[in-house]
Amino acid sequence: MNLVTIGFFLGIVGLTLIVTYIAAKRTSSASDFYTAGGGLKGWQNGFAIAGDYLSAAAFLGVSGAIALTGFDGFFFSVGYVVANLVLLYVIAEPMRNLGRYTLADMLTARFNEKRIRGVAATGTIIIVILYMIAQLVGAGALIKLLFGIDYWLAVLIVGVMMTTYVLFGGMTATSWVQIIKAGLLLFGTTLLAFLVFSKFDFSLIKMFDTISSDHGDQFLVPGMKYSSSIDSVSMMMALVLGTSGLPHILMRFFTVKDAKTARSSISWTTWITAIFFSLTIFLGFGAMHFVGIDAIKLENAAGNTAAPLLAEFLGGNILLSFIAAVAFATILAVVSGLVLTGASAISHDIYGEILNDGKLTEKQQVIAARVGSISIAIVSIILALFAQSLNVSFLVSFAFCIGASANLPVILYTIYWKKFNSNGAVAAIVTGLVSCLVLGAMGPNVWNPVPGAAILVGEPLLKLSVPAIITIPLGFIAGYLGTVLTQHKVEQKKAQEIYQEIRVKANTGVSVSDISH
Amino acid sequence: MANVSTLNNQGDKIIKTTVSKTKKEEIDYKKIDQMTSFNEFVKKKNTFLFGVAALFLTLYILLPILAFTPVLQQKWIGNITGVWVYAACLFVMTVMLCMLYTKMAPKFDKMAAEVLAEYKGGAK
Repeated sequence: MNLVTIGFFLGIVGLTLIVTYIAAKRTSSASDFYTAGGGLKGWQNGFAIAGDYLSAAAFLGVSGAIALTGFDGFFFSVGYVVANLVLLYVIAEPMRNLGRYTLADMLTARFNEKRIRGVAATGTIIIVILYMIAQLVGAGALIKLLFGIDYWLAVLIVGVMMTTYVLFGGMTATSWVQIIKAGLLLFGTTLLAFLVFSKFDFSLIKMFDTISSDHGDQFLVPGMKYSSSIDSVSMMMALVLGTSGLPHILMRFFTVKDAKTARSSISWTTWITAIFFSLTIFLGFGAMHFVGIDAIKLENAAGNTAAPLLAEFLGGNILLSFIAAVAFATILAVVSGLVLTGASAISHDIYGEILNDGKLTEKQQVIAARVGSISIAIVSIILALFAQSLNVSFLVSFAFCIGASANLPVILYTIYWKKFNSNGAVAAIVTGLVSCLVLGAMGPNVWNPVPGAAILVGEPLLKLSVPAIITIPLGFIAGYLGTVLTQHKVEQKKAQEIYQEIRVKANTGVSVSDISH
Repeated sequence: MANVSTLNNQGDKIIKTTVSKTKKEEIDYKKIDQMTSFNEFVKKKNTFLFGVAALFLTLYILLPILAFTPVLQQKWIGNITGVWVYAACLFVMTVMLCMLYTKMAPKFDKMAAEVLAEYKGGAK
């Protein structure tokens, strides 16, 4: 560690704390805390959503995966980018028109039952914790590598920072940390890609020629990581459909005032992510060629430090320090968003609406939100400390899988299917959630005959690394069967009246201000 | 007809029985839902949204399927193989469909506004 590194590091910490200080003054109500009062502009929310996409897994993980496995790593980039369209075309606007703070709010707008809120909140908490463990373990390892501090201390620093942002600045601080980080990351990536491209004389043909001749044609086609089409199809399904079911992304649509702004948010996000993920080719190939596969693997077997190593090669210590600081900001921003989302499920859904029938005063709601934030942060930090030696990066793909299998079916049915009922909703969420966890636990990420390669030693019962290709249809079928099999038990007339209201609201946005207060 | 709202005495925050409240003006959702213009609008919008969604999801999922066939594994331009070109096309497709949506959405906004105007005109 040296002065430049410490300088950038403190710069990030200082800047984000100033943002938190300003945001804290504006955070007084529950709506301020969870949704920044619904007052974000389209471009701001667009950058913030892009920030959620561009997690450490996306920035460090994807460039590392391309450096080590060539095209197989680029599958992720394509998935993240196309996922924007699902959000834009079928999710963003109805979500904004129907919801208030959480996914469960949107579902209970149609089915006002505590069990619906309960299962939806449980799903959110499980997704948040899985995602967070992966981020924190990755963060600990990365900070240990970049700054030379102990793992436990690194996790603790990140934990304290994320809790500070959320606790004092709520969604306003979390959003601005995310916006700043997305801007820095886009700048850093563009710079790295530009430097790499200049070394190939700005010729794609030359870059591919070099990779082919120096490293081999296997990097230019899939097959190094994914042995079969089925495995990659399954993973790609989880990515494109799971994004629309991730609670921390969905929550972002409540931070803007109406459907039009939600639309413009995603439009911004689409451009930002399309640019960013195109650049991952240059980062990946650049690291493969200039740093070398062996040198990357020596630092980190999964390739997570490929981008920082490339920065060091291209711009020496200064660029390395800058990219490391940006990676640090990335981790902080993403985990803060996760803490806030977890808190919304615990404090708003479970404590406020289920246990107290929504009768909390504004002041009690804010206190509950803060207590919820601290609890979820502490649980995640403890789990992350225990998971240190485990390879947990796959948990992110599990989170996508649950989002696609448990949340997406129920969201689509709630908005678009007239006959859908609350039994179908419970069936869809529970089936999606349980099947992902069970099939995931039987898969190669958990079981591997080689000791140390996965969590447990043994033959995997299921060859799929991400079971989405099975679990997504299961979620949809469960929602359908749950509905049609119990149809006679539901009071048809009342259910129909509620759906009429949902349909009008979702399509016209009428009375959004009524719902969102 | 207008749904009975159960405001509790603390104000407008808590809604016990699903349906709407009386703060501004009652909106007769049932009436809007049964208007011909509303149903035509929703049908047009959903046809567009789900049509395009089916298109891009199909093109997208063909990538991991075709990527393991010789078609996309061949070198198309210099050493650039088909998979990279196809993937690049998906990026371009995403940005173009995003622009298409941004272009179409105001038209749907206008149709929604017309439906609401018709409802308000008829209600008075």
